[in-house]
Amino acid sequence: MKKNLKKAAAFVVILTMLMSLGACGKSEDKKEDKKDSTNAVSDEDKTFTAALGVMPSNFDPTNLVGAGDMNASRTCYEPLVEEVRGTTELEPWLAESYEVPDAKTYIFKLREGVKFADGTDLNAEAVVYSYNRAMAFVSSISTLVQEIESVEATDDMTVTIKLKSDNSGFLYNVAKIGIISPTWCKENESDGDWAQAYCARHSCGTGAYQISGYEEDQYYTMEKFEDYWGGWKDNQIDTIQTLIVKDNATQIQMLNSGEVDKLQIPITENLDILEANENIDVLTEESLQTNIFTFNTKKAPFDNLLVRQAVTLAMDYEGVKDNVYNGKATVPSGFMPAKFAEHDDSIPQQSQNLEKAKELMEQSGVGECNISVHLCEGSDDQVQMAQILQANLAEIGITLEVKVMPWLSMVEENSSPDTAPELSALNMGAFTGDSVFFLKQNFHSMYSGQPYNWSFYENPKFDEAIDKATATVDEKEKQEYLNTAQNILVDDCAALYITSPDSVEAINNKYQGFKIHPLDYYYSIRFYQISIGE
Amino acid sequence: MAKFLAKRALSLIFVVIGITLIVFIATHCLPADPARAAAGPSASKEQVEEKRVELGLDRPVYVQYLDYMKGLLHFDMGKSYKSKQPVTQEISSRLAATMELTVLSLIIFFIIALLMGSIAALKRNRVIDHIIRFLSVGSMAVPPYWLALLLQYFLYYKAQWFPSGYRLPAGMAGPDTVTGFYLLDSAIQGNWTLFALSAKHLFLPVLSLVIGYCGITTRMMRTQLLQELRQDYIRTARSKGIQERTVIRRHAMKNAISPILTMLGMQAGGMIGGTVLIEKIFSWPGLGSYALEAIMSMDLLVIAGITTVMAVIFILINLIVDISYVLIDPRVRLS
Repeated sequence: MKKNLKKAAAFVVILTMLMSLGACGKSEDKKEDKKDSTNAVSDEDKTFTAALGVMPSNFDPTNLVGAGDMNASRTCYEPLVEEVRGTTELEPWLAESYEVPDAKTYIFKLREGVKFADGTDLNAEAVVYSYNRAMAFVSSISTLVQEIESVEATDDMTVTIKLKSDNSGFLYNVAKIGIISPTWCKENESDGDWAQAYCARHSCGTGAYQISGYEEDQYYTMEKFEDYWGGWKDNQIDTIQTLIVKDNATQIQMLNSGEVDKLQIPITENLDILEANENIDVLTEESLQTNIFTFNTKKAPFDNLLVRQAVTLAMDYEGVKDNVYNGKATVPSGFMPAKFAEHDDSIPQQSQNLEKAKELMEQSGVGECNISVHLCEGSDDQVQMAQILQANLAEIGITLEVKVMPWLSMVEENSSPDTAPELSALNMGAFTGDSVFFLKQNFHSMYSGQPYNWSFYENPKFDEAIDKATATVDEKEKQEYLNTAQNILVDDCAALYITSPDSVEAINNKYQGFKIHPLDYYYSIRFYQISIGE
Repeated sequence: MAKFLAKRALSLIFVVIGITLIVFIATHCLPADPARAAAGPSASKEQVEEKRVELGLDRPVYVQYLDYMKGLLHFDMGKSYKSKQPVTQEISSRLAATMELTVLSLIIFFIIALLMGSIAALKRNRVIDHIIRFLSVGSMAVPPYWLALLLQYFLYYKAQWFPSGYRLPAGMAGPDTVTGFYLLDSAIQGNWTLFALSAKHLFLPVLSLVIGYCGITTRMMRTQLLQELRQDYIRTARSKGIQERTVIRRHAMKNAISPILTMLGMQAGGMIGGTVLIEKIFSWPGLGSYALEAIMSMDLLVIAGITTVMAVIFILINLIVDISYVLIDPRVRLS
């Protein structure tokens, strides 16, 4: 028996030794492994390694399902006009110029000498094809093209887009439509699917980098496109390696150890660890996000304006800023984040006044009541905000029940005021730079019960201001309408505007030129702008 | 044996029918709309309806179910709503990753548990027994995911001895697929560099699972063996003058192992479905985290596909356990 046990013990030891074969001494995994790999890149600095929490389900510029999908597709595909990094402003991109004769007509003159990754030239026909493709099937960008009446090639390098109705903010939508090679798409079509299946895992745009390889749930690689129209300098990145790292703590460890160069997670904790690392730059910027709890305005007690006002005054905004976001947030003044150029700076910041809140509750005649707030699964900040509100509301006689549920269940129950809870949490980030649309999709009556007007807010005066702001091309007039709309939302307490968290990102400081971009939920990175060293 | 296998194959068909039926009905009862998920969060009601028609979700549930089962006969599980890729293809690559992780962990923890359990039983109440019992209780008390975080922190972040995760370093192509297990495939192809790298990447997740699951089996092995050693037939064997090691190996251990195998079967099933957190921490491209994402995004056909595959695996594991009873204990008859 003893002999057998010894044999078995020896087997286990051998097995363990085998497992630790490569683990003797310090491992320089990244460097060593790349030498071993047949697909490896020899110059390590020219490879930028980013971490991403989820494998993009699609690289297609049209079929963007999750926010992570934008990470690759925005790099591979370019639009006619592009967002200036760090702002909501637009600049000509694949179109070298554009004209907007009226809010229904947009004319784009295309840039000469631009090539797709398959070697074909960019021309008006390619733009028309890309827009027709975006309109051909339902996807998450369908809402951006639904107003288009026609897209025509006026000549070989000019495209005219006509809308069904006036929309002065349409250019912001144009910045989201990536142009794809029609030749490549047609070659890879299957059963008239507009090459959706193929595009999900391959790319052929005009972008500076194109997909060169991937392993599901492990990584995807983008290599520089040699014939990129912008040209190349020696100190630019050749390869972008995006590792799929699902655990936040692991991402932070990997950045700290130098295995990745950039994180893609909201950083509210462990900031001190990252800031202490001399190889890491922690960047902080004001965001285009407002975290709100929507009031169900069609259901008691929030059908009563006085109760909405009382809750608005009871909330401890500074407490949320300091305790939930470690001070890296702004107390909002209304729904529109202050970073939007169109924000009305005359609106005061939200502030707590418990005495006034108690008075308003008394005036409302509602008395003590029980309400519930539904939060989205996985959003720890929402839970903490709800806990603070819970304590605040107890002071004015309201008992708050907190319920966490999957996002899709929240969408379903908020389709009707009868099934919706009294409060629903929404972290509203701007997808486009269009401030009118930002207000519209959350509070216009046409979106009542749809994402994201979960307040079921219906106010003809607000609708009118938004509709007029949408239609006018006069900037001054537009600002006046937007000011009216913003003030109405504050006066009506259409939602509880809790906080605007800052965007905090961390990047290895051997790379320069990175700017936090507040749109696309921070997933859009212009790697072409990043250089190695000074 | 043939009759037994035929019976099991037949039961497999019924289980698959039952499981898929439950999945289809359950997902349609959930307060979440797959068409809305596929159309995107800001899609209008009209666009959601258009998507519903495109995906065939407007048809009655039984029609969708029959359509799915028809496809299943040809190993076609449809296409993912999200990625537009065939579900069979999506599942197969991830299943291999999960299976490699769990099978290796199972083999190692089973050997260690048998070894430690036996030593503890044979050295009852001695120091070694106390140490093993202490370690077993510790193993049961520590959740594998917490252990995984600790191991990752010390052995990757601090010591830099092992990689943070993944099956291979990023950018490195795996071996040509034979079994889907990188260790086996690289060994078959004689690529020992790849073999060593695969082993290195497997080390931390496997160690987390082995330590996490080892304790209870060790305790059970100890108890079973002690129980067997008290039986009359052991006393008889000893009184016949049979060598002690023969008594233990051929008589006591054989009988002690049967209940352990039953538990191993259950643990294997649980481990395959329960490695989600380990996979997440070590960025392991397995089925667990993929299943979770599919559920969160209501990717209906992927959910049905994963459930079907898991059910089949569960049945196959139990089949292997049943067959192993016969191999270990000749008194057991499969019929």
